[in-house]
Amino acid sequence: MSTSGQTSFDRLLLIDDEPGIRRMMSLDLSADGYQVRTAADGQSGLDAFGDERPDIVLTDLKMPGMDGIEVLRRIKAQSPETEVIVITGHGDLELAIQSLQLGASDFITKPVSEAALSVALKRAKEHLRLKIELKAHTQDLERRVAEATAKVLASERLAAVGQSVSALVHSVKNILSGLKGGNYLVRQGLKTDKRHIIQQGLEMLERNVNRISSLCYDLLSFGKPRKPELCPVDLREICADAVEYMWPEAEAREVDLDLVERPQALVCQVDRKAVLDAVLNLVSNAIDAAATVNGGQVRLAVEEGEEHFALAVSDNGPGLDEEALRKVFQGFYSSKGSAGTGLGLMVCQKIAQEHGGRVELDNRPGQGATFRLIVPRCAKPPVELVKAKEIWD
Amino acid sequence: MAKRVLVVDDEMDLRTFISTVLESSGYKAVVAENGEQGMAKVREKKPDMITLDVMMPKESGIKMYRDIKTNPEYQGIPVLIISGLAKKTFLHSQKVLDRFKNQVVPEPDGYIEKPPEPEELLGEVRRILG
Repeated sequence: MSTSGQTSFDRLLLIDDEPGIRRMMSLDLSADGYQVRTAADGQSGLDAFGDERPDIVLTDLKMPGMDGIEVLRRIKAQSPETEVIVITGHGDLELAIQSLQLGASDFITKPVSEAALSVALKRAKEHLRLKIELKAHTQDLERRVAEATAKVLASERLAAVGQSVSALVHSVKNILSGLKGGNYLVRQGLKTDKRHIIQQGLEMLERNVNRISSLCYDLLSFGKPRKPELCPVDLREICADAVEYMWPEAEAREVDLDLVERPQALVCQVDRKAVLDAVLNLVSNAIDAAATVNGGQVRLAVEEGEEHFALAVSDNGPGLDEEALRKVFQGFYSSKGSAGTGLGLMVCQKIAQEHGGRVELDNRPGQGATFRLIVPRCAKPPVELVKAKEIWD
Repeated sequence: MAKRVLVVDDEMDLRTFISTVLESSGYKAVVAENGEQGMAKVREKKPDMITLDVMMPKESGIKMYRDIKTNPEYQGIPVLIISGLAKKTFLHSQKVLDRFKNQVVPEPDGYIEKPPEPEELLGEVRRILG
C-alpha cells in the first residue's frame, strides 16, 4: 500500500520473465495512468517490492528461479494488505486456485486481454479502498469506545462519590456524637467530682478528634487525583519501613509483627511514599485483626510473579465475614466501629490502580486474611489511559 | 428499683455516652452492640425501655424494632430510636415494610436524630417512662 498517503492506488509492480509481455503490459498500463515498475524474475521482483512498496503486484506464475507462487507467498507474508494479481498460462487452473488460496486477489490468463486486466485492477483497487475505509472505521470505533469507556469510568467515580455522601454523613454524625458525648462526660465528671468519668470523657474526645483527622486525611488522599512519582525502589525496603513505623503499635497491642526474609532485592518502579502509605494502611488493618486473637501475628512479605510483584500483609485474625467481604472495598464501610473511617482500603486500591495494579484479598475465615498490593513489574499507566481494546481483551 | 434501659448502638462512644447520661440520672443501663445482641439482652434482662440505633452491622435496628413490636411478649417495651437517619426516612422505611410484610407496626415511642443532646435524651426517656 502506498506509504505516501495517496489513495489512487496506481503504483504497480509487474514481474514476468518474458521481456515482450513486460514491455507490452507496461505500455498499456502506463497509458491508463499507472506508474509501472517491472522485474524480470521472482527475486528482483521481491527486491523491487521492498524498495517501492507498490499498491498492486502483477506476477507471472511460471518463471525460472523463484516462481510466482513463492513470490506471492513472500509478499503476503511481508505485507498482507498488498493486492497481488497472478498471471497464468492456459491450463494452469490448479496453480491459479492455489494462488487464490494463498491470498492472491485475482488471476488473469495469458494472453492477457486488456479488458480482463482492467477488471482485475479495478477490483484490486476497490479492495484497497475498502481496506483503508475499514481500518479508519475500526480506528474510529476504537477511539469512540475508549472515549465512552473513559466517560463511564468518570461517571462511576462520581456515582461512587455520590453513594458515599450518605455514608460520609453517617460517619460524621457518629463522630459528632462521640465529641458531644465526651464533652458531656467531662462536664458530668467535673460536676460530680468523679475522676474516672472525666478520664473517660477526655479519652472519648481524643478518639473522635483522631477520627476526624484520619477522615480528613483519607478523604484528601482519596479525592486528590495524582500521578505516581515513580522511581526504582527495593520493595523489601518499603516492608522494612512499614515494620519500623508500626512496631510500637503492634507491641502495644501484643501482636507479633515480622518480615518474611528474602535474600534478593525486588526492584520495581513505584511511588515510594504512596506505596508505603498503602502498606501502612494494610498493616494497621492486619494488626487490628490480629489483636482480637491470642498470639496475634502479622507477616509482611514481598512476592514475585511472572508479570507482577506483590506486597503481602497477612494476619492470623478471624478473617472477614460475609458482610465485610461484600463491602470491604466500598468507602466508609468499617467493621471497626469507633476506630475506622472506612476509607483505608479504598485509598490502598486507588494507590495500586495508579500504579496499574490492584489489591487482592485472600480470606481464610477463622484463620486470618492476606491482603496483597500488586504492582506490575513494569509500571503501567492507570486503567483510564489504557486503550479501550486492551480493556476488552 | 431503678428502671432498666437497654442501649443498642454499634458505636462504643455512643453506648458510653448514652449510658452515662442515663446512669447519672438514676437509670440502670444495659448495652448491646447490634440487633442480634440486643434481642438476646431483651430476653435476658427484660428492660423497661430500649434506645435503639438503626444502622448497625450484623442485624440492623430496623429488624430488631420490628421483631420487638411484633412479638406479643415484648411489644409493650417502649423504644426510643437514636439514629443518624432522619425520622422521616425511618418512618418511610417502616411504611414500606408494613405494606410488604402485610403487618402494622406502630411508630416508635420517641425519635432522636444523632448527635443526641443529653437534655433532649433525658427528656424523652423521662416522658416515655413516665
